[in-house]
Amino acid sequence: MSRWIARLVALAAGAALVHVLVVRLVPWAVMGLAIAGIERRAGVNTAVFAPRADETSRTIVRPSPDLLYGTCAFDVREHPLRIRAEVPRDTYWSLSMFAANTDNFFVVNDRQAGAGGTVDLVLARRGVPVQVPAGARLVEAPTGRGLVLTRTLIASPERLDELDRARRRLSCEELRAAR
Amino acid sequence: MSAGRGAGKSVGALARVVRVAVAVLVCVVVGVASAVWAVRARFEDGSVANGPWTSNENIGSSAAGPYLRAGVAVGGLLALSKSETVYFTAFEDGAGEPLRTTCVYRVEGRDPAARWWSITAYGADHYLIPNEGKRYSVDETQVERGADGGFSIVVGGEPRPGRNWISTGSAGGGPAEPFSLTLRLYDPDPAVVASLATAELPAIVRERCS
Repeated sequence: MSRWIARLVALAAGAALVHVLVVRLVPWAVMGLAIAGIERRAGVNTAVFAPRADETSRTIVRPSPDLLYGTCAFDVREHPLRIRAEVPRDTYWSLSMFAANTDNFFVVNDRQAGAGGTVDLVLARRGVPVQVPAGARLVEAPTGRGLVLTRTLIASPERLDELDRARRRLSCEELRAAR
Repeated sequence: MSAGRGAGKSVGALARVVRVAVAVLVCVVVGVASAVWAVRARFEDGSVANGPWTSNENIGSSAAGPYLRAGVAVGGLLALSKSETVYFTAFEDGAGEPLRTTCVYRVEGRDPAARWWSITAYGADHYLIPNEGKRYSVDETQVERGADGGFSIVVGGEPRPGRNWISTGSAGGGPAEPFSLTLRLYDPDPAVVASLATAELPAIVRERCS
């Protein structure tokens, strides 16, 4: 009898371990797949611009068809990254950063950044000393890898080309001499 | 005699291997199934229901627990934190019935308190639903409002005139597929962020099903 109880306890413990592992690893695995998908298209630390989302868009779940996205899959384990973007006028825009566990650790929108201006950021691994170029702002990444994402609202169909040009001014560039 | 004992030992060893393999399989199946159930059930602090809409105040936040984080990874990767964007998702109509592509719904109400909002339909796979006119969403910049400032958006497969139509892609029949609606509030009013459960949101009313 006690042998069967011991077996049941072992089974329950094993199932609980699998349960915890699955729940804990899913965010890292899904984010890893998303990063790998973007890297396949453009490489790491390089800006990439997806077409406007439609039913064929499969890189990220639940895309918004009303937004234009710009992305960099970042890897700051070796070098920090300088991120520059143009902030369009008269529409919603944001630049956000996501850690490898999916956490949104940074966001700035057009009102905070100043519409019509530019955003100049240096992204570095948390705790790593970095020489930040004049005018740039330091952002610390909690994980070495992750994603940078810009969202631009297509305020009207007539502005699509203008807003598309603006989003394509997003750049992600390794700062090899900055440490 | 010794050959018989050897065969018996082999059978015993094989039985042990099979028992261990079955035990491992049971652990994996129960562990994975319970994890999927727990993530889908969204039983976690911060979960909020507002009529048919659900949200979670910890989406995108480092305060998110493991279940919410896993749920966001599967069904809402790259979601922003609530200070920037609030996401409400509905899998059911206002009467608690699952949203189906063979039904027609009205989403009606007034502009939610945010700088910009949109309502988008997604299939069970969390991607946009194929449809000829690419009518995936209606947003604050294009919605047609009535004289009282309110709006009524039709969600269904049958084409409708005007801009207040979101297609579920099933015009001309087809199987009843589940779908969901996501309401995005960008730059939400602080009052909305503070009261996700009571913020005024559009109602989802089922008109008919085929």
